[in-house]
Amino acid sequence: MKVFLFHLMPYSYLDLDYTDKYNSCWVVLPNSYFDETKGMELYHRYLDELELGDQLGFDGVCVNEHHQNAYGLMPSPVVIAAALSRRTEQAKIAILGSAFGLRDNPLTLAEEHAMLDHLTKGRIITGMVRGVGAEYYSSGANPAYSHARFQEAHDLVVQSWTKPGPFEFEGSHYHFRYVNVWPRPVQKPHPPIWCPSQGSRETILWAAHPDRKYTYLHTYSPIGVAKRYMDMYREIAEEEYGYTSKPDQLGWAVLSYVAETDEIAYREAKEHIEAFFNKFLNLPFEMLFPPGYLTPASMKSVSSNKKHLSEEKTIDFLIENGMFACGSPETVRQILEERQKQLGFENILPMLQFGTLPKDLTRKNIEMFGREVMPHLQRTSAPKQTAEVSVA
Amino acid sequence: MTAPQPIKRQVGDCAVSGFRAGSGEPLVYLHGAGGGGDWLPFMESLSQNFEVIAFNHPGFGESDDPAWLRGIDDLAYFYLELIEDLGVDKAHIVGSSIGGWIALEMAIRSTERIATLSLSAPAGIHVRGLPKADIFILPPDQFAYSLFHDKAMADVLVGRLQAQNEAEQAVAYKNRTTSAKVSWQPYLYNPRLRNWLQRVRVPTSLIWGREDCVIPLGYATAFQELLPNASLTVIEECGHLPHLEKEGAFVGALVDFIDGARS
Repeated sequence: MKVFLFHLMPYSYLDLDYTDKYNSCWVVLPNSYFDETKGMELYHRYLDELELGDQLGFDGVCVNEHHQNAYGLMPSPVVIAAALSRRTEQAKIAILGSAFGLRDNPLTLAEEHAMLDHLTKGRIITGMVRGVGAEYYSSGANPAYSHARFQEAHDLVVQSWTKPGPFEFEGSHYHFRYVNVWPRPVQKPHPPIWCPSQGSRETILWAAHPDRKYTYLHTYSPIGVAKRYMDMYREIAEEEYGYTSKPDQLGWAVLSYVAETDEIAYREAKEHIEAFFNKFLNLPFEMLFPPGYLTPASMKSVSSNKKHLSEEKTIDFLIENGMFACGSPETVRQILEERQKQLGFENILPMLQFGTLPKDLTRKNIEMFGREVMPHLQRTSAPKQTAEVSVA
Repeated sequence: MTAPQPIKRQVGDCAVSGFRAGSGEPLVYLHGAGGGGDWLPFMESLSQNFEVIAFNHPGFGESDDPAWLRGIDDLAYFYLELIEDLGVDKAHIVGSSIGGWIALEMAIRSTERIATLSLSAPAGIHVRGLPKADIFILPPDQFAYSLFHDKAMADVLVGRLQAQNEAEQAVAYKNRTTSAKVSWQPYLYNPRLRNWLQRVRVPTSLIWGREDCVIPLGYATAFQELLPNASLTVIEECGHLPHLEKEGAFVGALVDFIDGARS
């Protein structure tokens, strides 16, 4: 499989007692919690960590977009990708993703991704996301048009990369008299497009469509849920669209921590992984799902699971549910190879820094993963899976 | 008490449902972001004096959710058409919150069929330095407490929200989604409305709860300055929904205003 190092670039110095006063580190947490000196140090540290990934031979390094929060300091992942472009040699740079539909002018992102494709000499992967619900509060974009704008922005951007310009684009949400993007991207017909998601039938129906066959990237959820959605992708490809999807149309992002022994890994990771889930990823329901962000059907299924969303999560819960791969290199290797057998993905995206995980432990984690886990994973490939695989 | 008669009307491709009861001059009620669908005590009281007509707006409750519905102006044009379609010559328009905003958007376009306007804590404009509560980001229980001055009434609402069945939850989500469609950004107002409020020359009544935490009372003063023919009634110990929280005072103010406008 292909192994991608995924970094969220959190504000890891976050004062975790902020929860005494605020219900989230998204949208409402004052930016006075951000210290510029520490912030500057973090940007350079995190770029070093991603560059290390390239040196160790990861197939790619990944960045993403989030706004106005301590969870991720990349409101513009394009800036980070640009900083990486000439400091990395072989790794793909995957932007997972850019929120094209949040923009009033998605063409600026089309231009920037095309520029990056040149700076990296064709190593860019373009992730397209709607952005999490909180982003609609931060950006002012209307969540009731989230799906429609996402799809229309996608059409606009792909056309801008593939269709000779200038041409007119008249959609429901976007209107351009002149679409004529310079530069055109290096990769043909355009950079690969991936769709990161926390699980959505609508996203899968859209991504798996024969015109697209985009890689569906599943993040965070318990292993049973991840399996359900990956099975759903295969099933939809087979039954709705009449083709057999390939394992490289699926990816799985998983928080991982490797140390000398299982015991050391558990001890070193505990406070940081718990801080990640309970302090960095604590999005209240209304922030996570603003009105219209989900279709009525998705809202119904999410609502039934509402209580579970806000529960505090322990490291044991996360390990048991397959949301965190933690242990010695041997243990983590076994877990991830087993997951590949279960889920049938060809792309794995270990997230090796999380929450408050400090510099020394992050570096150790990346190095041990890169030297002792990754080479094994790169030699294995997904077993042949078909849509007949049982839907858990 | 006469049972209200359920009604359905279709304008263009959009069917809407609602209630009609009482006799007298027609009074059209425009509900707020929470939606319509209930026949409420204040409607019952008003139906002693008026023919009360209350629909779910397009995109709310049992009404259709047409693809063309993108902004508050769509709802304004829809209601102008609907009133014509109902054969109503002149109607008293009563609107709460977003409903009051719809009423104003109708009135700047045409007051041909509008006898009077009664606006209960209407949205529609922005006043610098007077933030409105964010009706979308608050969890439902906290939101309920920001709606009412009387905590006991908020408790009742919280209880109702917690007891919602799946169908009721689906309607609530539909209502919230349509509210977001028309009011997410700019939040609860139309920057271009303010200038044209000078066109609203029909008798206008503003009704406001003194303790309104959603659209604070300062908005009443701003509206009074912008509307050529507006009076203001402030209801004491009352939040954003006077028609629910102080039903008697609300109905009284409304009836007095309309009586006064006739003479």
